[in-house]
Amino acid sequence: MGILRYTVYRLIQAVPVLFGLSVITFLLANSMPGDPVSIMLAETESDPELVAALEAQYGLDRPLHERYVNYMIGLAQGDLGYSLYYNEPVLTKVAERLPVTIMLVASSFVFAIATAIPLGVIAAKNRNQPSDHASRIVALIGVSTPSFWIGLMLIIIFAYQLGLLPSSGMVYPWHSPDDYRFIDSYLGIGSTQVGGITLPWLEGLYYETARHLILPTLALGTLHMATIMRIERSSMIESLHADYVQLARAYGVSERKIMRKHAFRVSQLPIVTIIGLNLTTALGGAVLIEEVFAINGMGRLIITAIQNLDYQLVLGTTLFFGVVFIIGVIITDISYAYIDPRVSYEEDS
Amino acid sequence: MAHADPDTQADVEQEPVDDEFEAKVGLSYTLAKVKQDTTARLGMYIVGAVIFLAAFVTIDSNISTLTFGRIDNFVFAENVLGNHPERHPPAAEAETTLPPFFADGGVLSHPLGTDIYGRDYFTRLIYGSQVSVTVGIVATGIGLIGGTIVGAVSGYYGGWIDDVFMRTVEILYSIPALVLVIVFTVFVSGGRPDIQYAVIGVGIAFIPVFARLIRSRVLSVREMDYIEAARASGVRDRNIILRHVIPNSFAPVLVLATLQIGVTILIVAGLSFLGYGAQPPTADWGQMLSSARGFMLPSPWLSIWPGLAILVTIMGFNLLGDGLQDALDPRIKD
Amino acid sequence: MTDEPILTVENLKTQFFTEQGVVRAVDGISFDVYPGEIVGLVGESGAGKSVATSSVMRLVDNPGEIVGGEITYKNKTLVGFERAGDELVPRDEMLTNEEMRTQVRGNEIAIIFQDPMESLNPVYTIGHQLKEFILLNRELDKKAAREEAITMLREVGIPEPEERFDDYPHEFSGGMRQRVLIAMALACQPELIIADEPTTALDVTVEGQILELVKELQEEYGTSFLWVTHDMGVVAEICDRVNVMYLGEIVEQATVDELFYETQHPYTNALLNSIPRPDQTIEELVPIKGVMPEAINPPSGCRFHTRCPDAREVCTEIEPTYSEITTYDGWPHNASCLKHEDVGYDVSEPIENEARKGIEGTEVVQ
Repeated sequence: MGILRYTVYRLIQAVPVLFGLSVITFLLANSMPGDPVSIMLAETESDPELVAALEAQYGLDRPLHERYVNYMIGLAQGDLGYSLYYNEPVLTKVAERLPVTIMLVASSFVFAIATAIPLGVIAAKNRNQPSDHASRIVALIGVSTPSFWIGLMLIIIFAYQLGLLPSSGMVYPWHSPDDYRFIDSYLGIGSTQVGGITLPWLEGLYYETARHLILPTLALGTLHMATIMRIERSSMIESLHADYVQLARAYGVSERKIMRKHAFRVSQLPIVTIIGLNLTTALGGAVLIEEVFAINGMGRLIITAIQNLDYQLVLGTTLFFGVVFIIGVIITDISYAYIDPRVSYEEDS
Repeated sequence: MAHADPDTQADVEQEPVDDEFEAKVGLSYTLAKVKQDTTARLGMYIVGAVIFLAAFVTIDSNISTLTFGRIDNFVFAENVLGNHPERHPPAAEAETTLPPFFADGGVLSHPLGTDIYGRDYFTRLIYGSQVSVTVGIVATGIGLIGGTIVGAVSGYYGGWIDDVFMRTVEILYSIPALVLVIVFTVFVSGGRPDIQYAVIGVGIAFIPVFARLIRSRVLSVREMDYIEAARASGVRDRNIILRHVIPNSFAPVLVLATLQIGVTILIVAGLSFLGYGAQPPTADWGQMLSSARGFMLPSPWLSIWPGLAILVTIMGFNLLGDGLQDALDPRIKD
Repeated sequence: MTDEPILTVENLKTQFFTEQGVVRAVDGISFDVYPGEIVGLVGESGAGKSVATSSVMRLVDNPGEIVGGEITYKNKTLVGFERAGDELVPRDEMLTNEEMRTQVRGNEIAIIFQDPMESLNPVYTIGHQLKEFILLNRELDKKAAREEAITMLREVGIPEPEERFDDYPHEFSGGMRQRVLIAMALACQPELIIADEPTTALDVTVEGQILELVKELQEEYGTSFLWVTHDMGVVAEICDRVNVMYLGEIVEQATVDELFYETQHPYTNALLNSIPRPDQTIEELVPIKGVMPEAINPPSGCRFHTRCPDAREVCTEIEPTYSEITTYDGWPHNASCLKHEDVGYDVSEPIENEARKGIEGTEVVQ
């Protein structure tokens, strides 16, 4: 089976999981206390007729299973429901927030992988030497520190004390620079002139995005850096002692090439798996990090939804978290199959 | 092989005794090993110190409650619970805070300074250990007991029970634990979240973690000859699980539970920080970080200490867990 | 034979410095390999055979270290020491690690490991791995290397080598993988191939095929082999001369015929009695009793005395010298046993040991 067919196969396999996910999120969201309609009407005098009319309009007077069926029919037509709090369709809200969270999670994984793999390899190479011990201490601290606290510390140091980076907010690269024109702190955006020279990369929208991303990325990525580093170290140590690496040495392959090729590639396999598994942790972490840095992503959306008992929004956001995770796992499975020839596409992974 | 039968028979009778024996030997052996290992010992000291503080604080507050009837009357109450706005008119201004003793304006009587209500931060930090330790142990306990039951049943009976369990776990894994617990907390508390709901929620969310481990142990033990023989000779299923599987799983469960306490404390700190865990005026590290957020510019130390406390506590459990793992499974030691 | 040996090992000592103490894994062994010969290195697991071969390649892993002796390959000094004050230090002419890598490993001495399942990198095609080693050890361009690889695969009996070239190791059976590894060794055109129990992990029919293949290829290419094994049957099948190792020492060395028919050392005898022999009809196989002691604290006197059926009092006290007993067809027959020395073995009392008490140890010889 080729990689394409394997992809299709994995997607089909995901269907029952997605179905189960929809049931569980539906039950979860419906288990929330409070009555959406009375929350919507809020302070106003509750008029029984108005309540009944609204309940009928949103189908809330129907029994649970019927509401589920209706929800699924809506879902099939691309209708995720309606957010009473934002007074907007859930899909609109999700479409607006999801890219932000994906950008944050992706950049933190890029940071984690880019730092953890070299550090893990160095630690494995210098096993039981000072650099190895140092990297193990860093990894230990990394897995023991709450990400949101790292965020707070980064804000204190880099935003408040040193004034180098912004403490909150986000600049979206897909927006127009004009969107930020009236915000004082973002005056730099869009002006591509520095000392009369045009420097689009230094002073433009992307530059601002990068500046805003650095601290949240570090805060969210540290845990994953630590986890990946630990695994990279042990899997590299293992493959450095493998017979095929000994064989390569016996055939005169240089240590440098052994580190970069013979031992390295095999030791990446567990990393791919762990990245897939850590995706939910990262999405959960994004909830906290978005809160700390006041970034309007999915995490904050879900918190707002829960706070306001906006159950359709809770449903939609939770469901999307699940979908993002499932897609992520499928991507890691496919990349695993791609880099490890031993994975048979025929078999159930 | 016909002649092997007497051996198998002998195994059936001896095995339960052997298991218990091994489990006991395992424990003392483990402790001895852990004592030899520097990092594990460090972990043991940290965990021991935090548990001691938590116990001390609990006894102290119980005594003061008994002595003075109401907790508010005692000096500690002033320090720990203080003039919370729910009790007294707010005096919440950044100027009322004191910095740590080594900074300008700090005093030794408040070594880590005071918070915005003038409460001694060091005392509150110490009291925070109570919440963390209780949270870690209780939530992990819920996960452990629930997971053992679910995992044992699922692994032992297999079939559709196992299928349903595994699929449910797979689906639950796709939603971040933090989100699940928040929804659960809001649901159970009827919109008024508090620490006890968070603990139960985290405990339930971690049932699958333990259930998976127990299930895999059950699956591997189930295939063994002596279990077949025990079943053939009419030993009841429940007894097989209780006498063979559970003692056999002692070591990996102990390691997982130790590491899981750290994870639990981490998640509950996050919940409290978001406002879905401990509520003011409880002295809880996550909650303290949440309260300190508005004062990061004028009083950064308010954000530093509770985080360090969480870091050290979780690091203690991680060190201990790693040390136990090394001690119990020499294969992966390096 | 008038040729010079291509490999000479003299008094080689390799030790492992562990927390429990110094393990004398190889404790002063000497042997040589002449061009075109297959020399066996036989012994139980733990006798130090593999440490000896990795010492020849200078690939002893930490905490192991070659602490003494001489290894000469043709005119190159692979290992050589000289005295500087109280210490032995490497001599100037001893090859550096870099020289070992570029001048010896692969192109002069190649190796085949025991476990074909673990010896090939799972994430590269066998063609890629073959080609890489050929490019590294021979002056060929990429296209020629590929052709050479395919030729060698055909030589070792891989059907349809052009197609199999791009297959991954997991798509080959154990026997086929061992053939690939043999092709790999031959393709680099070394003069000596160290085969470290290459057939142990294979089943008996495949083992037979591989041994046949090696014999054919050896005649065709004239390559010398140092063949490490614990199996006297394999020795009989393939070797010209044999070295028997016990606990870090070589206890007997002779041509195959001499060793089998004029056995001089009780250990060799015990090894031979523990396997079925086509040339003799015996009632019962006799396993070697007891377990080989730890190399960390070897027994005094003769190291084999704890398990030797012929052991006497004197064996516990005096260390036998490894010396020439006879010569056969120009080849020496060496052994180290007090039976052949004038130290009062005949008048000494037999001792109680594992062999006599009949303690069933692990049956170390299959």
